[in-house]
Amino acid sequence: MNRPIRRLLVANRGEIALRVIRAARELGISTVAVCSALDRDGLWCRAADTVVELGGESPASSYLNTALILGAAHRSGADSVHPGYGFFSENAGFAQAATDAGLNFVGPSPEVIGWMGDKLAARRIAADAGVPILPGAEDPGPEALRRLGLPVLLKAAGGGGGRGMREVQRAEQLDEALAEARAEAEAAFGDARIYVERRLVGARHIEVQVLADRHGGLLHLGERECSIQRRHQKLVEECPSPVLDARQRAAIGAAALRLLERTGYLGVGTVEFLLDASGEFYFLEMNTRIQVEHPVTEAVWGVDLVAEQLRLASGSRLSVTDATPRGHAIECRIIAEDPANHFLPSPGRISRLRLPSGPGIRIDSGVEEGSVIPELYDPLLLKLSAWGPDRESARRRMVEALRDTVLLGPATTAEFLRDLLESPEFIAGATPTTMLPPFLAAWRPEPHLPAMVIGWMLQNEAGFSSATARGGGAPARTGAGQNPWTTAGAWRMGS
Amino acid sequence: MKLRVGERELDATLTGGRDTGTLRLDGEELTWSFRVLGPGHGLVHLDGRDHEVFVADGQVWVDGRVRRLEELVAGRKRGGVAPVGAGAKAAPGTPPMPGRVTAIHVRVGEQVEADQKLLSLTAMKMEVAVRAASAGVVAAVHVGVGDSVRTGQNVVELRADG
Repeated sequence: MNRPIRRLLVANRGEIALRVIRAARELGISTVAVCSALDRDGLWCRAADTVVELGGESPASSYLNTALILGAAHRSGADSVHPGYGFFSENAGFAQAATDAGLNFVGPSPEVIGWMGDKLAARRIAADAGVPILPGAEDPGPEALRRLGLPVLLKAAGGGGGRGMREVQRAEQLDEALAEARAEAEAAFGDARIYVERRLVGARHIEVQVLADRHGGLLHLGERECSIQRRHQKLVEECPSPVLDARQRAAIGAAALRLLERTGYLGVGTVEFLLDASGEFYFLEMNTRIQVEHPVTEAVWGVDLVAEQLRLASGSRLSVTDATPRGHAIECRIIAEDPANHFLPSPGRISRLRLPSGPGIRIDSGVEEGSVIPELYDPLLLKLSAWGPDRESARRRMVEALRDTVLLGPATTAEFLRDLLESPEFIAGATPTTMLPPFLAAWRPEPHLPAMVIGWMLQNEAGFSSATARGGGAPARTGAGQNPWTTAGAWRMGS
Repeated sequence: MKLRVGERELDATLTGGRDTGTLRLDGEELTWSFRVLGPGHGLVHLDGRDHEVFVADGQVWVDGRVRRLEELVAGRKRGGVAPVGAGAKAAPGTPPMPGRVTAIHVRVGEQVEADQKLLSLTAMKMEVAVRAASAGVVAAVHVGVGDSVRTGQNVVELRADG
């Protein structure tokens, strides 16, 4: 079933579109980018051989519009489509429509996407494959709560990403939490089904990177730890986990491969687990796509997962069979959200951008200086990853990279993550999924105010001509000077 | 000059030439020198240490930390423009983030309680409600569903109870 990819349409935007386009170009595959009306200046559009503008601004009239994307593939002569992550990456309907249109969809079959997209079906399949699942129930009533014990987590059958998810601490909260979860799930997935699982306190999020070819070849490339999250979405990921031992690693990897074998999987994927404090692990869900955090696995295992994904989609056998892990890698998501303001989104124009560099530092960025970050799409701007021979070296490299990152305009997670990585908890590897809220509550960053004030006042001098600009009494500076920031054009202070 | 950085207010006076001088910050006096590296980019020398500084659109970056600085004139922000980006905080009853209006939950003339949901916003896949800062009667709704709003924009006007 060899089916070489010659022309690949990348149905996504931002850093992942660029990542896929680069991998395709390296493999000699010609590339087609797509963009919404707001994204014409996107970096990924310039990297591709051809760009097709999808028309609208909203996701529904661009990246989440099957007819527009398939039309773009047809017009540009693409024979394959890569969905990236998010958008159509785990949409069985889109995968089926693309297949029906004669395109090679880079991912598993629509049937497998459908099974894994239905979180309840995935739970049943995992249980059938002998993969441990959390105690839970498909009917989240009072009876289930009595059996499971509190706290429990309500989850949407229709999809993940924190939508339709509610924690229930006390029995009397159930009705309201259930109503909220159903409404949110209905809005997000068009599927109001909610199920319930026991809430593990102090657990860690561990996920296994898996690969499968069309010829029965199966492989896992160890685990990533992604416990540091806000709103059930990841902020920091590392490979390997600081807590898994060799026996647990082998057991969790074998469990992930059993699920792969059971479903007849093709391509790259990720099986997510919760690891409890006693070292037991439980299946959470499977993501049938490339993950945001794939760079940490690539750094440690020396494998290009996106290139491998493209090779697997074209029918090749696994090219990696004897990879061995080396060192440790950490990824930080630089997101346009303000940690000091409840992680609220912060779209806008990037007025200044300087990215870090150095040994072991990798940047996956979808933005540049001058980019305007629209409010309509995901707020991920770029990803920094740092590799080191051990966890502590990787951590130090990441801290320095975060310090060197200059990004003005939107608020971002960079400063917060740097302080988080400097915390005793992170240094010790004590990072359960519950780590973030208390750290955030106690977070007291200390900027160098005198240096900031001097820089700001010197920069603003030319524009501040009124006497009030000096404040605090008599004008402070006498005589004419030049705005030291521009040096061009004399300015006179209003004295 | 009175400055605001986040929640803090500072009293700052800068004196000196173009590349060296003193800063009096909340009564403490510091000697500085400065070297331009490029537009909005320089090196502040303070206490025997260099600090690289970037400044753009009211935001300052020093040592990996970004803050928005605002001048306070008679206790209020200069210009009164709604803040955006890092360090921006909105007044209660106004959008806490830029976004698009997905629903309006109140009508003109309606009596609302403090903290009642006025409208819903979405941005970057997140939904947030704008809630009433106090009880009152809705005097005006300035936006419609689908409109873009800025942080701190006056979206719903409330009149205090009779």
